[in-house]
Amino acid sequence: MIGRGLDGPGSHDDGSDRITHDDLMAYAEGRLPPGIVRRARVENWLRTHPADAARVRAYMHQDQCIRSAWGDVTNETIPDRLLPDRIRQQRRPTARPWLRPTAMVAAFALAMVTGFIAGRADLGGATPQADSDPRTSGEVAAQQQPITPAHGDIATGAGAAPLADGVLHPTTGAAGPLIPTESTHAPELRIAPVPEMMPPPAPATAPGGV
Amino acid sequence: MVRQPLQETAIAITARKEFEDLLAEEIPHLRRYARALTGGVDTADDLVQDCLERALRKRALWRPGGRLRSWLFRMLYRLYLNRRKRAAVEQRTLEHERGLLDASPATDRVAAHIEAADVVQALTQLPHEQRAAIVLIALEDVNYREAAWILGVRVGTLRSRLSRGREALRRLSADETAAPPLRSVK
Repeated sequence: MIGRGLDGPGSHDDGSDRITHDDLMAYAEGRLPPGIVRRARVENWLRTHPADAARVRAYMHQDQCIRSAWGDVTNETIPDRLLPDRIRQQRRPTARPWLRPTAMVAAFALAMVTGFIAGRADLGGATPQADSDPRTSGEVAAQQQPITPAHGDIATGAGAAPLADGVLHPTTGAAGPLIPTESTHAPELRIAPVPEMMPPPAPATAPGGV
Repeated sequence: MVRQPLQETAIAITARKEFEDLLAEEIPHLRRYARALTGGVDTADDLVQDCLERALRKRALWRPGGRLRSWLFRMLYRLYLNRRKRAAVEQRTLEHERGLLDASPATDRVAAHIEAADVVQALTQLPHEQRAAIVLIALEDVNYREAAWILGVRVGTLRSRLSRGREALRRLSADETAAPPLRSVK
């Protein structure tokens, strides 16, 4: 029958007489232009090999069927939803919801950093452990017991409250009980961190404090 | 620093407009290939929509020297594969149903050529990689290198998919002309 391309797909040069299955496909798909040696060979082969000739006809027929089934899809009217203009406009609103969580994460991170720095600044300002820990925990205990283990973070969270605004309310909500417990320190805590939220205060105070 | 933006946006808008025009020209071809891949009108258009959205987003990655259609087809095919993967199990049943549902419009159009309906029906029974290759080669004027790139395989792989697919198709459609046509689902 056919030499089944033992020499690898398409690796024969035009010198070889071997007709491969790839040749038959190429012929059926119209990839062997008239005048080319290979084409003449394939045609010769097909004349004497009816089984392969039938195969080639079948392949041609497959392509015809596929084209007649879907060929005219390209003439159909394109639905509006596929027009680039439309897609671009639809894309915009979806772009924002995607940004929103990012903004939230960024704001949250900023708040954490700010709070952290504020906490350290606070520590640096007074006695390392004695200041924030016992005092706040005492106050927290007075207001609300279950949170006690987390109070350190909560204090810093309160520091970030003015910054975070609407976005962070879930976090500051946790810190809520602390905000009213002004005492003498809390107001400083809340206001101080905002301007110095970035690196500057940290190196200044941290070495002394820790 | 600040003086540029206005001018740049003007240029950017023209560039974008140009790109969108080029894109629009390819939509019919994308739809056709998507239709042949999925078999369903709506599924196909969903796929095309995904593809266009992605193309608009990734516009910067397209180099004007390249053939836009191939770039888009490659994207479309990947999205198609992703969808298949994502819905692997459920897809299988869906596809069967879809094959049945969509047989109606497809067969309507093909009604004149009954044999075409056979081949189309047989196509749905091929492994999807083989179907994708055969249909791409039959419908689009691409050479093997381009086709292989679109499908994300090597030329040798493309060839073997084509030849195995064509042989299977031949057997299937021969069977179906012999057997009664109502054996679509199993």
